[in-house]
Amino acid sequence: MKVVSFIACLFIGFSAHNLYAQQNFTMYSMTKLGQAHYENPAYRANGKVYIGIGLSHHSIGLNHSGFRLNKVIVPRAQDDSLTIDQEALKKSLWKRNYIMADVRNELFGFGLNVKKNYFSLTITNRIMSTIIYPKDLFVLALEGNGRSLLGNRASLDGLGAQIDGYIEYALGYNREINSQWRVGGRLKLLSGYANFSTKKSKLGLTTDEETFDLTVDGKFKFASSGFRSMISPDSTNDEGFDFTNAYNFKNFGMSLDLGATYNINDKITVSASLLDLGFIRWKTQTANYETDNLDFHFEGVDLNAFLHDSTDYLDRLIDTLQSKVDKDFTYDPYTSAISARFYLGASYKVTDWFSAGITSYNQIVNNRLRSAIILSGTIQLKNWLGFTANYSSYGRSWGNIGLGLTLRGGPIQFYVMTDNILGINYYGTKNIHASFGINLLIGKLDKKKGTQDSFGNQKSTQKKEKKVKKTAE
Amino acid sequence: MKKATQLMGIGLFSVLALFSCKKLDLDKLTMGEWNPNLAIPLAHSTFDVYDVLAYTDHNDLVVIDPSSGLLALIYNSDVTSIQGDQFMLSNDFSKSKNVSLTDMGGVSSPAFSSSLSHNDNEVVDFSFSNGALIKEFKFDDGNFDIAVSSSFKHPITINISIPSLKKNGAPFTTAINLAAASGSNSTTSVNENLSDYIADLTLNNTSSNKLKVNYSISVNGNGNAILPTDNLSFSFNFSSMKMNYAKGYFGTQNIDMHKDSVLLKIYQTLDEGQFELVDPKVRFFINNSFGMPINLKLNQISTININTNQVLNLLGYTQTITLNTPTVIGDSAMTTVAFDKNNTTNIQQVVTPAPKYLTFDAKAVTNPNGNLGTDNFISKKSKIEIKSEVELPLHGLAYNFKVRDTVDFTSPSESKNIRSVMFRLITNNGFPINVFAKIKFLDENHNEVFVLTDEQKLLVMSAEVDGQGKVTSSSKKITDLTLSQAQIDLLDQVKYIELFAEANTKDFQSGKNIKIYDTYKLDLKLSVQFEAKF
Repeated sequence: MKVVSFIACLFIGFSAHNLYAQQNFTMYSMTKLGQAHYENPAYRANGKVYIGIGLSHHSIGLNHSGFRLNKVIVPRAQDDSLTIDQEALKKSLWKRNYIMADVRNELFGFGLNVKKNYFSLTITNRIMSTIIYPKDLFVLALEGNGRSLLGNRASLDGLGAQIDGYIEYALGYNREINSQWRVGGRLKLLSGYANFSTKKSKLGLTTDEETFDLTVDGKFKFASSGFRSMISPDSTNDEGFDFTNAYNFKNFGMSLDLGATYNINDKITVSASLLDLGFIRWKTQTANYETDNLDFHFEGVDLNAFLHDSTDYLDRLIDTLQSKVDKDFTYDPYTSAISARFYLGASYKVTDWFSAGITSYNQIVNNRLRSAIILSGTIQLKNWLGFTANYSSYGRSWGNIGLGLTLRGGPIQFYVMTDNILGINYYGTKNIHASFGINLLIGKLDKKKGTQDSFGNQKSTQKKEKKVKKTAE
Repeated sequence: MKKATQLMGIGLFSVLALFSCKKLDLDKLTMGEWNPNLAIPLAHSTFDVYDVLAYTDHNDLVVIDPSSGLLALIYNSDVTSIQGDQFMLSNDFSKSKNVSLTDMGGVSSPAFSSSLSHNDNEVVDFSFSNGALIKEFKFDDGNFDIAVSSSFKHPITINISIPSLKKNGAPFTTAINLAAASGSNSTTSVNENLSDYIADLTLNNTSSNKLKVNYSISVNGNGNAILPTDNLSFSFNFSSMKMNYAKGYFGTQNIDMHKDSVLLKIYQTLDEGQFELVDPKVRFFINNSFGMPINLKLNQISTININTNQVLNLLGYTQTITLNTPTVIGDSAMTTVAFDKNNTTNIQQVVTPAPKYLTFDAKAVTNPNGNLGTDNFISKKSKIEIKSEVELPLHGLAYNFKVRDTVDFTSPSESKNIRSVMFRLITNNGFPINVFAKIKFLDENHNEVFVLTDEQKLLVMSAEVDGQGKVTSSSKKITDLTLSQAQIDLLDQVKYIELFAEANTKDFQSGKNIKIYDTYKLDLKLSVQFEAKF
């Protein structure tokens, strides 16, 4: 009982504390930030030169699409102890649930505005992980196969994980085509250091309603790099994690970010970006595993065979089971795709210092599209202060409040933001996210040519610039 | 600007408010009751007729009608008589002969340097068990010893031959050289192994059990004196003789056959039961390799029910059987006797009370009509083998077949984590047989703690049969046996489980006869569903 309780708590705790990877929605609205081009390559830093070293950008986001902790941990009737509400737990799960984490650390960043052009070079650590678990996994654990699953297939389809760890070396360029269009792109060379890819996961356990016969069906396949010492029985002690893979490009990959903004008129701007469209070829410390197509039917012990030779029968039964799953690891190179995502946004400039926007964020996870919708309001006071707030629906969570603040004093730009401030109360939320950093911004954009609007586009007239200045004062 | 400051202030206030939200104190987290319900298949099997009716030996079940597949249970037993080498024994014997100087035609002499010769024969009589008169005897083993003693002070040569004792066609001969006596008699002996010798004991078809030994004696004078008292003595010793074969007349003898029984395995584990078969049979297959007339008497064929000690004798059958005999040594002749409802008066009743054994007592008599002039023969391997066979064609009805067994039980330590258990038995029965069961849980004093099933709970339902008693369709039955929480709590007291089972053929009450064919099958599945509590 204690073990089961511990495992249940551990999983719930893990789930609650590893909520899902937010993707810097808030940053998408903070267009004057040196790192804004991560979300849309058409954005650029609000200075002639931007430099970031070490502290310039750190972001972590967690999301759990399943349950909120405070919905499943409830006070017990007879005392003040807390207990797990198993029914609530089951009800709060979806057929397929995600635990996602996203970490981004900018190791080096450099940006240079040259007239209408913006050049950038960044080196960024990226860790993206998604753990997928089906609802029936919990149902099976909580109520066994003898209740709602009796006569049905307990679907463990999709159970698995996608983990990517790599260093991203990105060269970016964007350009103002005209007063309406700004387009940009980032070409990224990737040096991977860890990957776990669930290539195929279809597993099911069916219990016959009358006979209780058990049928296991499906197939499981994964590929990995950097985890060999943990998962391969054939590994040796010298096959531990190799940090040199962070820069030696032995696991080489490429990806591409594309972005554009378009001013429909003085008030309305639309934007779009397509991010992380790429792949990595994994060659080092690979360990791949694939089961046969499982179709194992267990009707209990065959009495006739057992009575004639019990030892031999049991050996044969175990051999049959093992032959289905006990496959040798292979160590061939393989390719994994980066989880691509894209934004579509529109902004309406209410005043010169306040704009409202709506953004759609989309990500392809495990061949499924997961989307978010973000409503935002952004205040930009000259170049020294920016504040944004947003409301988003994401990761099966309807009420996420994002906040972001940028402060600039001289060449120093500090920022902090979150996609869900409610995550402070992590017991009651599905999403946690925080980003912060300190940039060095040298010089200002040419005032004669105008400042950026909320989407980073230059204002088109001197007259409007003056008006904004006056209003802001 | 002012509005912007206000907005940011509201945001800051909201953050502070969130920090003040009530938090869960996970230190107080306890697990509620966890009651997983597991459904697991335990065992399954398809039992055919051989598994059900002849589990220990599939050879017990035989198709007696290949066209229909009708089956019979056939149980066998073998009993063997003494063998020929025990039946025919030859006694050891010895024959002596003394030859004096006078017998040899010699006279005394102070100095004898010439030679003296004498030829003669001696007939030896063999003695066989039970006064058998043997004409020809082949030895498998035996010793023939010739001992000679002489008081002559001269060397002597003795040649012995037995023309009727041959080995590989050559008669027995031997030459014995005896040294001159000096102070005391001179002695010597010769030993011959009789293995593979064939003795013609008829003295040229004039007698039996007799063998003539020829001898010639030569005394070779060496100048010593010959005394009037000098003599020569022989002794012929036959010992440890074993027969390979023998021909002659062996007389009227009893050959004891051991009492034998046939285990009727179908009834072996039954406590009680009635088995009314339409046409049971008892057969005897007697294989005889004694070359002589033999009558076999089958005394008292009976069945015994060891549970009730009921003994039923088969009546109305012919007890004495004249066995067929072989015509050549080494051959055998088979005699078959079958008893059924046509040549007995009560064979159906004899097998009805589910007896465990069928027993019989047999005795064989050789040459029951005396010497008819035809030679008998036996070899050392001659014997009478009786293979008895009880055939129970599976056509009839059976009822009240009861089995009871008690097995030890130790309450599993995990039982405290079990809230309820349900065993599900699914049978798909192709046999025209109903099976009822009852399960009792007993304490260490064999007192009942609780009963799992009601009296006579039907577990296996009979298949449907046609008017001929043949199955037309199998019957499916699902039986759930549930142990409640209260019963599980009592398991600690349980030390034994007593199982009762009773089987009846379909509609036996109305006298319906059923038939068992080789295509019948019983599908059985046992599963368990239990709810745990943690």
